[in-house]
Amino acid sequence: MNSPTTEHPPSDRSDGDPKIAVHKLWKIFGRNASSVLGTELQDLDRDAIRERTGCTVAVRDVSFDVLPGEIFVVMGLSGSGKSTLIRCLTRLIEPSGGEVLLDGADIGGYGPQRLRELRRHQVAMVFQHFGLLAHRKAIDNVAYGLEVRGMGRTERYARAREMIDMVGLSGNENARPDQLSGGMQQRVGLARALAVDPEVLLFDEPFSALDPLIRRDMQQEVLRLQQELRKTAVFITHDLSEALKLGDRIAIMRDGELVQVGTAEELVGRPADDYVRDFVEDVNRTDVLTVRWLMRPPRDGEPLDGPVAAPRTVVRDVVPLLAAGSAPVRVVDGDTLLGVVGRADALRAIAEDQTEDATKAAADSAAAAGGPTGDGRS
Amino acid sequence: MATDTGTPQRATPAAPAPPPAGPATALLRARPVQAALLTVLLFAVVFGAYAAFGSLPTRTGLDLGLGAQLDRLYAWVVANRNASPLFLYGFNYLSVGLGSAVILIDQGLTLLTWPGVVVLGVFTAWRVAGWRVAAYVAVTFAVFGVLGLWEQAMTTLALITTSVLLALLAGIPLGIAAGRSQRFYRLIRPVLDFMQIMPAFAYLMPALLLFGIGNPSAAVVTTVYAIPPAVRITAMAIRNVDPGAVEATTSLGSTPWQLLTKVQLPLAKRTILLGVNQTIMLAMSMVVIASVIGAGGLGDAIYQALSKANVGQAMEAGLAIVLMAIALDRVTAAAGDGTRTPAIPERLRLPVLGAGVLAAAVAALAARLAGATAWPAGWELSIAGGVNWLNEALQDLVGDATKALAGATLNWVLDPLRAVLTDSPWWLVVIAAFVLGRLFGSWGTALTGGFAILACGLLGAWEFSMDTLSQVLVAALATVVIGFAVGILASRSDTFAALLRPLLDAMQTLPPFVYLIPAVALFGVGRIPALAAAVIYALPPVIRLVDDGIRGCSPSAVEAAVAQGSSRWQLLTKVQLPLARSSLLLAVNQGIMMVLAMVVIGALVGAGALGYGVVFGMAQNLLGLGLTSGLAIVGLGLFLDRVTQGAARQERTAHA
Amino acid sequence: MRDRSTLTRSLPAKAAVVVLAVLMTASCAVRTTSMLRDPDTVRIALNGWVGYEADAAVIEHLLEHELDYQVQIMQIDEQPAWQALDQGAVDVILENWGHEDLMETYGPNGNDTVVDGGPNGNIGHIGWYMPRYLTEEYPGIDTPEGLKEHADVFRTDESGDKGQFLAGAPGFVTSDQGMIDHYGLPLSIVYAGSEAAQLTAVRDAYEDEQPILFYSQEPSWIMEDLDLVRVKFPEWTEGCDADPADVSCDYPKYDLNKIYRKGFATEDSAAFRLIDAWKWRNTDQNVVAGLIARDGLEREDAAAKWAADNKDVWRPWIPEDAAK
Repeated sequence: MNSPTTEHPPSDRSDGDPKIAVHKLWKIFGRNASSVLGTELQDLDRDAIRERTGCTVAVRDVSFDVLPGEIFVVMGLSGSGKSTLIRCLTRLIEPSGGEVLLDGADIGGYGPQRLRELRRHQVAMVFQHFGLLAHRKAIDNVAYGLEVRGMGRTERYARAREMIDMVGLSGNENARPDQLSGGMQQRVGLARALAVDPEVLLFDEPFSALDPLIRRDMQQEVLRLQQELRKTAVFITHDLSEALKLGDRIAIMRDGELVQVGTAEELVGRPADDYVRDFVEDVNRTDVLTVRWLMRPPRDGEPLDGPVAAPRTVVRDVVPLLAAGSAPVRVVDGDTLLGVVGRADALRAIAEDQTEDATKAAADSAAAAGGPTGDGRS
Repeated sequence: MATDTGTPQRATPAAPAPPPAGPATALLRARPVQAALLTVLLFAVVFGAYAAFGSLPTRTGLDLGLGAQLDRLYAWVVANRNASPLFLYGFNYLSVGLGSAVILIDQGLTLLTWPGVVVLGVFTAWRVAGWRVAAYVAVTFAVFGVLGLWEQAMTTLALITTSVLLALLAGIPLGIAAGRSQRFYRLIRPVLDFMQIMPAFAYLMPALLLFGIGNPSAAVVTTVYAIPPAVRITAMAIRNVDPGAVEATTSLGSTPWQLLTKVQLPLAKRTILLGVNQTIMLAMSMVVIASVIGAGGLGDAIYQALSKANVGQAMEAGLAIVLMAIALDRVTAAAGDGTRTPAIPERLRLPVLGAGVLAAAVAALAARLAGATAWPAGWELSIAGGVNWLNEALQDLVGDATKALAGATLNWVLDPLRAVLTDSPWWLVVIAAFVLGRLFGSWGTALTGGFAILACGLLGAWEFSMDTLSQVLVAALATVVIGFAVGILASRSDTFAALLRPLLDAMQTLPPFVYLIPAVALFGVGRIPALAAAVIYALPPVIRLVDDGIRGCSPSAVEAAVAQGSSRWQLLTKVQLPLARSSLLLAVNQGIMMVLAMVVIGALVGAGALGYGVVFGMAQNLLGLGLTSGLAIVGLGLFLDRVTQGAARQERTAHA
Repeated sequence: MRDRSTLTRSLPAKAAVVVLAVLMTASCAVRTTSMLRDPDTVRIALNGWVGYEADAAVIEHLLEHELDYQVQIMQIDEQPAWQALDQGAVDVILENWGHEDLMETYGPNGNDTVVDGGPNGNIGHIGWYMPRYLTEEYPGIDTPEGLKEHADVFRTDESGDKGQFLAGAPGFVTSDQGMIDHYGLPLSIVYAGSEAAQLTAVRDAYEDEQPILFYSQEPSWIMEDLDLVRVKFPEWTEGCDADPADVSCDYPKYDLNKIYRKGFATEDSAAFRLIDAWKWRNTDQNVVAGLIARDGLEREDAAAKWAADNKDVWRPWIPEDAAK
């Protein structure tokens, strides 16, 4: 593949110690789970283990780091173990093996009290089916985390009201969950998680139960809040476009294992194996590749009065900007100029996308004609 | 989908049908049923051979002599009830405490006088359930008074209140524990199953042994009988709390206690109140049966009427019981769903409550000053005479026919069946029970069923057990045939179903005793009136389940079958009945269990057998006989329940 | 979850529970007699025959109307009624038939919780009865030998191939099976379940002149209504019914007596003195019983009617100092 760059993509994060470090994490469901781990059984595949021991391996030897302030997306199909994985991060599900470090501390050793402290202050979660309390008003749902901490009523109501405003639900404080639409309910869920002012937010497929239009709004909302609050986030989804849209980095999970971890560009640009390739093959590269990926330092004499774009603007979105004038688009993070993208750079990316489509079409027709299937695509 | 339980016809409703297919054949097509028929046939053959060539044993030789041991135990208890620490520091606490509580509440109600009680009761009903229920409660109180049953009704109310409170006090925490801990649930579930299989009548003897006689013992037995639904429904309620809400709140760092009080209990409240409702209903039925061991009140009034064969008086007390049951049901149900509770602004709630209590106090005071503490005799009106007149008229009209029917059933059905069961060698019956258990359930079912039947013999109650079994089988068959027919009719006609519903409601709240009285009038004394009462008693749930089962069929399957041109009969036999099969099997199970419960109570009108063992054992201080008979009833119950439930369970897993 | 279990498992908690339990039990042993009781309520056991109900009806009427007591009448069989006295759940049995064994158990020589209240004036005699028309059709059928010969006359659907002996309630004093066994009578006992159900069957049979053989007793109002004969077994002698499985004689005659809960007697309340003074004849009882069973009057109304007609009979029973 002839990607524009082969080295690690430029990062706009402050590098440093990971916020969350997951190391060789295992989760095996079943009565004899302990008889699998640490024996040669653990090297067998899922089906073989189930047959031999009756146990189900949900998470298998998973390791990754989540850096402070990034959105780390875990993507996989249903049954891939992603929901189990995220629950292991706060031990809502007790891992069978491995460790989870939060700011370098192993939460596996926490007693119940310490674990509750962690859940009350450091890590909060948003759930697919919202998990709201039907008997409480929206504001009492949002204030729940503060309530169990022991915060007084006035204080927690003030904070909860603030959060409700922040997620755009002002005026609905006294509504009960069943009086709210799905999107609004998830906003309550989001506000509830934010209310405790956690360092880390965990999202478990938060938008997959929502209508597509509402889902898009909610994704925007997350990006907006992230811009504002800069929390570290782990986000589970089965929707590739959602993963690409939100993730600073994306982990692809399959049968309990991580297949590939990387940025959207890396996944699209250099899939680790056929599984990932199948996943990303329908993705329009111009929708994924960002200016960050294409940009180059400005050449001498190039006009620097062109339009401005954030580093994560996708190629498709800079095309209209380039069409409007002749000056290259400036890629800017805050006040810093990171680089520029000119018309030729954008065109090259578009052209590659089309070439690939053409190659793929040829391979498909070859396959249809009974020829060897398209290994040649790589 | 199962591989071999004869289900193909449901998957292809439009397939060409095997010749005549009635509702019965639809059920028969299931293989276990065919095998069971085969078993019965084999049984008959072996029995025939045995009868022809061998000598039939008249006694089983199984008796372990438990009865005599129990008699000795009883003698010891009677001598030591106020001496042994086991009683002084154990059982007496419960019985004396409960008995005292009943007396206290009863005295409280007396102190309030009837106007005070009426005001307080109607106010409470209004506050919880709104005007309509309050009006109903007022009418109920009026009926107590008019029928001259005010004091009895208050005693029953005191008994119910005490028992239900204690049952909830024990049941709800157990239910919570069972709802939160799978292990604990697994531990107590067999106990609950057992308690629910046990016919009410079988509770009486152990209660008599441990707690003696009278209101205390009645309160204990009512409490114990009413605990299972409280535990079960609470556990279910806790379990059914949205797991997402539990997980979400756990993820926010709730302690287990916070989780319970802020999440699980509030979310489970409605279902738990449903459990309270069920608890009350069970207590209502037990408090009447417990009159046999000395419970006072309306139950005793019915018991007295029964011993005088006075249909009219029994109906009066029965009516009072039913009205009370419905009133308690409506009030607690309204507390559960909360939709009828009048909306009162929060700041007015306390004043409203105060006003209600004050009004009751004023009414009580006024009544005392006016000397009208007891319901005025002039306001009483007896319907007993009228009912008795009607009853006699009915008897004159159809008495001969019903008695002839009774004679025919006895001679042609009941006696031959009883002869076969009692004359068979015991091992043949035990093996048959085992085989039936295996056919309808698992090996476990087979072992339980076989052992349960064997236990009847080991207890020394073999003949009685077989006698009772023959009665149960005949009555159950009648119940299922009639119940299915009526249920199917109800499912096909909304008008009929609507007419039937209030009748079924009333029948289900009517205490079992009441059924015996007209049965005696129509069929004389003996086994037949008990059977007739059992059939009538067991019909409502069977009709309900059949009706619900058919109505609950997937509308799309029905629509598809109609679209393919099924006639109504074809629709019923090829689509609705097969689809409703698990409901139908449950109906059979429920029908049989209720028949058993009633047949043993039938001993009070001469049905003999195990129920008679209990009654006679109690009346003549033969605890051994009473208790072994009671245990044998449980054995039969266990066998019948396991086998029929095994069938239902097999059905469920087959379609899972 | 974890912290909860550690709480309950912790040693101090366990110790506290044990200490509490010990304190509780050490402080108060609970006897059944320590149950609360309303001093203004008299609790009368009601055994299952209408003659007894007549006793109870009249006592109830007098206690309520002459002494202002509340009366609770509790339907209960004979033997359990003694137990109820023993436990303090009932105050008095008005009409006791024998039961020397129970007096041994609960009386002064046993638990010492009940006392004999002396005769109530009625003379009781249980026996086997049949309508007179049967003796005309089958002469000698009213003897054990005649019964043996003609037992098939009494066959019914319920009794199968034996003759039916219709008994009343299972709780009644009985040696019927012992008598059947001793005389080798081909009879099978069928319990009607209650005296009322039994007498209904008897009356039905009598109207149609059908054969019927049944358990009954004097005093009973039915004797005044129907023309019955008593089966002539040899008269009762001491010890002839010692073995309940082999009884060679008729039932004994009883001087029916009252049995009190000991506490009720020692309190010596007005209610007690009324009941203690109460004494009447079989004919009195039959009048009230007939009003209830034959005429279908409610218990209260029957008692009121009798009381109105027999003021001179009951006036002396009312304690002088307590009369209203």
